[in-house]
Amino acid sequence: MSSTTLTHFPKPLALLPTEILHNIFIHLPDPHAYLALSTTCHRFHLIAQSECTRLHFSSEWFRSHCNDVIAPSIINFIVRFIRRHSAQSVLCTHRDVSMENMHEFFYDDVSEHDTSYWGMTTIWTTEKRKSHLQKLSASRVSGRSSSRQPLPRLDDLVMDLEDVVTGWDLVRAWQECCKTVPGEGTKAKFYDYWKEVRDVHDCQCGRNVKINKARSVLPRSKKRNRPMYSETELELMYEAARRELPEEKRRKKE
Amino acid sequence: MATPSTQATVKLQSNDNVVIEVERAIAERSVLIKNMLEDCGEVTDAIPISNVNESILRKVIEWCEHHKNDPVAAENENDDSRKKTTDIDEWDQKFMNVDQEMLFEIILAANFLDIKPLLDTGCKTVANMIKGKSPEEIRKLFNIQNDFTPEEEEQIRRENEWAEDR
Repeated sequence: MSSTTLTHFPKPLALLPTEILHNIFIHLPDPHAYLALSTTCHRFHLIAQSECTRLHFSSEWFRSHCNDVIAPSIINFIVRFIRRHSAQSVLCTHRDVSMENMHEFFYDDVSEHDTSYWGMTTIWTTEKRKSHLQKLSASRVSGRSSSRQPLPRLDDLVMDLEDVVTGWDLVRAWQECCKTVPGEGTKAKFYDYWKEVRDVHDCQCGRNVKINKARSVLPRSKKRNRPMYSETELELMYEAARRELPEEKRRKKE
Repeated sequence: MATPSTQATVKLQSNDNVVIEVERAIAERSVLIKNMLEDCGEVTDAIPISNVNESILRKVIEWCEHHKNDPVAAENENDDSRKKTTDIDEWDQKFMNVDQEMLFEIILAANFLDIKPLLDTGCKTVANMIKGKSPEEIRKLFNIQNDFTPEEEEQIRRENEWAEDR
């Protein structure tokens, strides 16, 4: 047996050229596989760490997962929103980009959802994850744009590995929703996750926000980009949604 | 480029000197061969494919034959055509169901011959084998030498902790 192993040279994965390993990394199905493969040896770790591989993997992942085939493309938007909000002291400005899609996506059946969905526990309550998301800010957001410049539009944010982790969580949450609440209620249940995300980041969207004019990032004027719902309509909707939360959950939050 | 494609077949020669004749349209799934034919016009001699042996070459040709009618992927990566990129179609799955060595050889050949969709399918196949496995399981699966010191490994584990599955 030893003679066959001697005469026969199996080509181990690690002997493939870097460009091919890079291509394999890009096609990994989830961020955990990415990190696991990067932890196997020095060479893989180096490839996985390089910005080129990370960013390529991330954009490929969002394209192949948040595409309305596997999971709703709105997840891509939510992740960008989280990324933006993880920057400290960023005023909520996501009304300036494609907020209409958000409302279209959620509000058509959220208005009449079964309230029992609101009581479900969510993945976003994990303390560790919360603190991580809040810590994200400094390192990478600021690294991608000089802090004096206005922040990039949501659509222009460059997604990185940790965004894929967030996205992957949301995709799984979505799949879980589809499994347990197929059909009508799926979006309503998924909305619950979204609300948690907003709470974690203290998002003020849709509420009357006091705008500090000294800040560089301001919501666009209504004239230029009229939201589908007026401020008051939004206010009413959020109020209604809040009222529909089961008593105990609301108490817990306050 | 201006030469009309009168030539119906081309001959490819593997590195173990086997000559295989294939339809030109099939051979042209390889961007390398396509460019070569466009540059040289009529080629009557066998084209040496120096990095690929007979069995792999036949395998690659089999793939090209099956996919000869696929639309050639547009160079600008406009999303829709590449939407479902995590899926590997059934025929490709069966095609890729070979031992690791063969799989890597196919990937290398696809890379050399510049057949992007085959290269991607191969890489996706490897990527899917990694799904759900621990680093130790991946090392075992692909015979990867762990060259980290225990301290280094511990440090990387801690760096990645935040992303762990709950």
